[in-house]
Amino acid sequence: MVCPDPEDPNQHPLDPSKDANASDQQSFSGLCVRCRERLPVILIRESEYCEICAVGVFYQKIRPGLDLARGAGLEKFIQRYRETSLGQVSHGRDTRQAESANANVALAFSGGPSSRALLRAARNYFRPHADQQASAVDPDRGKGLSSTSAAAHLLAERTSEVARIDVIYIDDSAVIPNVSGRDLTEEARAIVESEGSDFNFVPLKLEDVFSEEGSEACIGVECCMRPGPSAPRYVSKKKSAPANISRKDALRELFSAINPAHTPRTAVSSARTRSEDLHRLLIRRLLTETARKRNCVALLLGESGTRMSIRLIESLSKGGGHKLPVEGSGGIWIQELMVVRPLKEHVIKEIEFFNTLNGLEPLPAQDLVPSAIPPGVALNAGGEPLMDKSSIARLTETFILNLEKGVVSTVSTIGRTGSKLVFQDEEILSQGPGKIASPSAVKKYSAVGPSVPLPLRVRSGDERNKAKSEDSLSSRIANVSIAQEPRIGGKGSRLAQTAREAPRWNEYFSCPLCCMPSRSGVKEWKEGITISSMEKLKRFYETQTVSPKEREGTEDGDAASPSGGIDSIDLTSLLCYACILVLETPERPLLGGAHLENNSSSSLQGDNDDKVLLPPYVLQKALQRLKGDAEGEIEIPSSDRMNQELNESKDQDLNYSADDSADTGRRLGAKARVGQNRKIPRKVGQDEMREKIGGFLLEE
Amino acid sequence: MTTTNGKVCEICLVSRPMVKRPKTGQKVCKECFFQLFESEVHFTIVSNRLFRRGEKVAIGASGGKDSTVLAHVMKTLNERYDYGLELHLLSIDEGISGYRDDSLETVKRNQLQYGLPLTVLGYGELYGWTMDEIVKSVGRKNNCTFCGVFRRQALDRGAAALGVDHIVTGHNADDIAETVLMNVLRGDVARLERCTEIVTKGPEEVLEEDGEDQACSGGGGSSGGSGIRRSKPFKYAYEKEIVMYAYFKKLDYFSTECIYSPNAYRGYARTFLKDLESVRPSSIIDIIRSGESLKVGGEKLGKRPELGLCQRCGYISSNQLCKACLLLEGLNKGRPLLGIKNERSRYSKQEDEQGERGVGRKIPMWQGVKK
Repeated sequence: MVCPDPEDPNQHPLDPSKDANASDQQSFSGLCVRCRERLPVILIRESEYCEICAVGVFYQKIRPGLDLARGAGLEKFIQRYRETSLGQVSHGRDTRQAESANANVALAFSGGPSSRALLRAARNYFRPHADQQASAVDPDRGKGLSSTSAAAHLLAERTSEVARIDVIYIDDSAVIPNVSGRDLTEEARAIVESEGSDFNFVPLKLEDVFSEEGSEACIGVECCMRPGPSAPRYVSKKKSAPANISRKDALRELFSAINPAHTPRTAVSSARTRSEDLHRLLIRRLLTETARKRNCVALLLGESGTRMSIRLIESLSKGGGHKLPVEGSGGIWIQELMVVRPLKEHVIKEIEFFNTLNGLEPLPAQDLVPSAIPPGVALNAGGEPLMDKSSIARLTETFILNLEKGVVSTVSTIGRTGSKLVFQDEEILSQGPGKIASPSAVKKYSAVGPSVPLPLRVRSGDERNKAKSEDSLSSRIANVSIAQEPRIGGKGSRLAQTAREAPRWNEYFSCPLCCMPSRSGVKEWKEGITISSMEKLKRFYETQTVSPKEREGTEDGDAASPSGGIDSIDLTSLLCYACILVLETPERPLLGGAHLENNSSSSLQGDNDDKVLLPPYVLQKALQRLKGDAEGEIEIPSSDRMNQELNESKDQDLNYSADDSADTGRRLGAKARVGQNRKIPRKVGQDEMREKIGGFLLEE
Repeated sequence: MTTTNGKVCEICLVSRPMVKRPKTGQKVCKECFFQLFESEVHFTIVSNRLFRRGEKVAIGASGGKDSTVLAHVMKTLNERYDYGLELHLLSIDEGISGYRDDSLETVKRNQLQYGLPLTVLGYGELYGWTMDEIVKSVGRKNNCTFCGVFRRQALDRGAAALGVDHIVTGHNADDIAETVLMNVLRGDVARLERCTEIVTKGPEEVLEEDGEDQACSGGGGSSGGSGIRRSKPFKYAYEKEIVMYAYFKKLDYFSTECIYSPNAYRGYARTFLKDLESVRPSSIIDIIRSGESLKVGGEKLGKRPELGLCQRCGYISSNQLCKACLLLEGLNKGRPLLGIKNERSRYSKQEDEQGERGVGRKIPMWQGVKK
């Protein structure tokens, strides 16, 4: 292991939480780089800041994300205003203006340091006066804010466009292993309430994924989980609501199906990885669904820049590259919900610093896969950093945190790379009505008037002239709509514009499990590069004269498996690459009944012990996809234009050149030790080859 | 999925299994392993239509494991499936004493074993400088830039002299996955999309100007830029399986890690990849899948530099002089930083004023692929 370079000056203890405290003992070379007046107290990416400036920078970085959430509300308001103005012109302007511009915003609160900091920052942003009131009661609160220019700006007089802030907390103690998993909802509520009465605490449970509106029962959809790699997955076409099983049981069974007690020792880390992925995607699903149901226009997520770069590498390592334009986006419309990550520019150290300064305590961590590295011990006997191999997430975390210690630009470089990733053409096309939200909205628009996508109307210059020359009627209507902008002020218009230009993702054609982009042809791709049975080998030789394109169409693989049938859907064919891995299960051992103990409480046991319940949304999404696929193309506004717009909006944060990044890489490379152990090339003997493949050779 | 009691090969269900396949975890016998490995490479070749019948193909041979196994497999498949290829071995001798000499012996043995013609092209012969001499002049820093830039051109020139417009290299799945990770860590978006391509070809590609990180075992991204195609039949083959193949076929190879500067940056990605593989063996393929799904947006990337020809040697270049000529000029003038420094720097401008004086030995004029 070469990272980090032990000679590097920026060595910190492994635990990132120590960094903020470590800054106290750090010696600083001069004055704060920003104000050039005060003594620095924290080092952020090779720049030293004083306390006031550090807080200022914190707010400066978080602001664009919060602005985006605000802009999303305004944009929705403009949309509503236009719809009513086009449909009911006779009602006059005043009634339209009277419609409230206020929107609801949801904030995902896990209780961790980042979402704790986000909660405070969101309060100061959306409810500037709450801070003043609170400070009057508790003089310590808001320390470090009120004196800064950034905070002063945030506290400036303005009417709030946010009607309600829902703080969503999801209790996942049902799947946290050991006794450590306890329900922390009340502690979370106390924290949220301590931030003032403006927040609306929304406590949920992870098992709520098995619920449907208006029903108290556990509702799911049966999925066959035949063990073994690449076993197909079929879901029933009907939802079921077994009476004798609670939501919590269903959730636990699902987790133990992909991470069973009988997992062989060598596959345990991989099984934990699956649990982690499932946990994460269910949480995300629950958050977005809840935000939608509660009529929120934006969902704020507390992922820090550090976390996002870890997730990016993680996702890449798990075949999830196709999801990155959605997963790694700082702000993206998912259907009608703007999902924002306002902390995407912050490293964990800054967040810890902010929390310490403001006396903000996060909830105790309850991890699905606890860290295997004891706190404080960062190096092994050989002086190399310890790598936590409990799961891919843990491994990536230790890898990135170590790298970041050696080279402080790691996180930001990865973040910048991530922000440049866009959808594949295939995905843009398949989004179909993405620009206009949902099929129902398509209908609405065509009934109302012009089918020109909204962004074009506010564009000046060529586009508008083109529209004029194209069709006098539609251009008249377009001009009318320009004239009928609601009065939200110049700043408001700018915010709405930014939100309008954010990239969009339509879940309509997504993977039914993660609801993210899903590239087609996974099965063909896998079979093309790995031959796993004699049957496939034979088939390959029979078809090798056929071109690959033709082959893709003719191969139906195991679709005719007895587990399929008319009552079920082949889920595997709809899942994205990464989710196929999530739903894999290890081969069951031939002897021993460990799995029986594991499933003892199951009502789905017996002949059906391969079946577990998946959340009902999976079926809904799968049917939606099948319907969409069957219908073929739903009227697509103009894929070229969508593509162009998408790329344009991505371009805006392209204020860096490829050379910069290459330089970073070169610096990184230069920092590493060069040629310390001069290796002499030598013939590689059979023994050495044997050693390299040793674990894979079977006893002779 | 067939389960076995571990006593018979999971593929033929007859023989005794000898290995657990790193790629699938299946327990297979030796014969089935050979068949699967070769068939997968064959499939990669066929489905990507890598070759045309009657094509002359040069195998980039270093004497290391990948190229040794590649030569063996190419020879086998060419005969078995009658690809109708005319195969050559092409080796580049960087002139690093004690490093290339021995491994070239392996290549020479392959030449005899497989009856394939071998061409060895040396840096000394082509540029007038061996890597040993370059390191003496330049020092340990930056020498990978020289080696990378020189090697790329040398391979093209060697192929062109043989009348070959297609080079196959031994880059394996691990190399490619590593490169994907590395490009993300370095923020090299320009290479990120291209690094998973199985074939890089033709003058329409951007010429790689920065050789450092492509120098050693660089997985992909190395476009010919000269109309000579490069392809990687081992794109989906695991490194461990390549070693396994060499082990069972009793092929010898040399460890070819460079003695001057093991690419330290790649080391970060490599170590991480090995850890990932130990957690989930499919990680390597999963990363390649991810890499193939990445698309980088932004117009900046679309603006590829206009390609012209180097005024001095005629090799394809986006500037007046190609990088190799510039580096060579620096070496000849005793100012090796010339090609390393930014062209707009004062350092480079000073040199410009001197014009063609003291340029010294030049690279022979590029004549294209010999017909």
